[in-house]
Amino acid sequence: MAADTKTSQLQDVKKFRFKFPESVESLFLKVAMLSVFALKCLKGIFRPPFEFVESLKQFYEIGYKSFGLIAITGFIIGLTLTLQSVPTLNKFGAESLVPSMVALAVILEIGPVISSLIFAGKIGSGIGAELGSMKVTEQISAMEVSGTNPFKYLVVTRVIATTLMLPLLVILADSIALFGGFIAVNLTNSTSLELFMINSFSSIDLKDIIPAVVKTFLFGFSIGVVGCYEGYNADRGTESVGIAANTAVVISSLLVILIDMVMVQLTSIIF
Amino acid sequence: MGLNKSKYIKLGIFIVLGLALFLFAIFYVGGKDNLFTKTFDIHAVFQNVSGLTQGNSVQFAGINVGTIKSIEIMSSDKVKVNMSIVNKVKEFIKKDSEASINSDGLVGNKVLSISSGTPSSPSIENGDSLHALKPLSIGDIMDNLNQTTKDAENLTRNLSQIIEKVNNGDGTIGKLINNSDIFNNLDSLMANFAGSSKNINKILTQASGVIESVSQDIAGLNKSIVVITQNIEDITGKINSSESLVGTLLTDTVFAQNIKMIVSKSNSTAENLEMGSFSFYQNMEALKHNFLFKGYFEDIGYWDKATFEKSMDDRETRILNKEHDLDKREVKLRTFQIQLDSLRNILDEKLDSLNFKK
Repeated sequence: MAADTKTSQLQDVKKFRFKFPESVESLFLKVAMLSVFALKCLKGIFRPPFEFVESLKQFYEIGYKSFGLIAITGFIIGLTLTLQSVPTLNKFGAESLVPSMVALAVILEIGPVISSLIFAGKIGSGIGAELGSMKVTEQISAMEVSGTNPFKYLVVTRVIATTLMLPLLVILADSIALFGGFIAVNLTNSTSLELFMINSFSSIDLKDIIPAVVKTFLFGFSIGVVGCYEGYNADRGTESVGIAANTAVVISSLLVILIDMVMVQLTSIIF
Repeated sequence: MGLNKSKYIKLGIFIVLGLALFLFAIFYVGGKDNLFTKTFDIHAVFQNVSGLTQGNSVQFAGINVGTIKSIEIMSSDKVKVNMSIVNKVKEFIKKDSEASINSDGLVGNKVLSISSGTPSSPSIENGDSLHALKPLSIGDIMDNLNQTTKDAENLTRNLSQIIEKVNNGDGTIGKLINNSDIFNNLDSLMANFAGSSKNINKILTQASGVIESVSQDIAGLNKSIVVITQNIEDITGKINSSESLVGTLLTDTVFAQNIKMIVSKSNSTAENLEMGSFSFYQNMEALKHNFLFKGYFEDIGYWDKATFEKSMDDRETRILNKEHDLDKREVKLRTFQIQLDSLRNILDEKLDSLNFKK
């Protein structure tokens, strides 16, 4: 009886000593694997062979085809933000600050982050599902056999596309959001577009615009990398496609928020 | 796996649009910060910049013309503010322009304002220093307020002392307020004043009476003047109407002619008289020498020539005197006529003026 308890206690101690909880362990594993994958992607971006045609195709698929969604999102963000801030600023008699407030909020934070989250939802899941299904249907293995580098052809092109297309999409979304703000102001008041633009940019410096754009490159890169990683490393089995897509969205969204936090802090240190 | 042409075009439009917007934003905002325009640098040294920071705008005549480039501490009470100003306004900022730090709105950013300076002084150059005005900080205001409060305190204390003295009847004002003698003096003074004012009134009434009588006199004078002028009018009327002697003299030319004739005739008469008397004298002489009358004259002793001749001489002188007298009279008449003529002219003029007045 006593020996039994001893052995069980020993087993407990052994377990406690060497093992993190499984979720924590898998988290670290994932972080490590993702980092390696990201480095590999970076290497792939700057090293030949370059898949130009496939990259352009991905630009179209990832960039252009997301424009509608991002544009609608941006427009509604600008519109609602303005509509909601007008009464508040009106209380202080500072209605003239509405454009600059909306512009500051949209360009610095809301535009990049919301657009990136939407982008992650659409593209991250799309890439995860696409690559996952290719993995499940062993198309990637077939590519390897046929002599094409599947990593270069499938992963690097997509990562380049997300990295370069997301900033463009964010800039367009910001512009559309400001236009939405202009329309919102004109629902209750009347302002000329010129005055609205002057007011909007009155409180914005280059040191606001540049970091806001720089971080969208990082958002795009992380979304591409996470999507590709989840898809590329999907388990065999049909349900794993769904899991890959889901995980890709969750992780890339989380990364977007985390990178945003780090970048804001870095920006305030540097500038 | 490539794309068809229309998809490329769509992609191209998408990329170009995004890049264009990005460039627009960069240049728009950069233009605001004067990153892409030519600028020149000037500086100003302040004691205290009261919260001005790098990147705040520099205003000239209320227009943003530049930005604060950097702020550096030179010594414990000197802060150098470097600013870059767009070249366009270089000619408007003068060497004697002054820099001051103001707030942009009630809770707004700090801005550095440059005053316009005198138009005649030369424009500022790159690297010049502007004279800095001390910014008005809340601390200064509080200091001033503190001083003012202290002053007010002193003032109140002094005032209370003064009032105390006044209450005690010290000093001029105190006496004025507390001493009734002054009031009494004032009262008697006022009574005196009342008496003198009565006298003054009397004098005034007298003076007014005098003035009244004078004015009445003037009125009477006026009336007599009217009478006089009427009389003159009558006289001149009569003169003109040739009723009187003067009128006749003045108006009747025939009469004048007659007088002239009388004078000339009297002249010739006198000559004739002279001639007559001379021939009569000769006749008488002849008669005396006639034998018929000779005896008579001898008897009476006429030929006692001396007496006879004397009487003849007397007569001659008397005749000569008479002639002389007549000459004088003629001259007098002439002058009288001339005077009459001039008098007539004067009267004519007077008459004309009177007619004109009417």
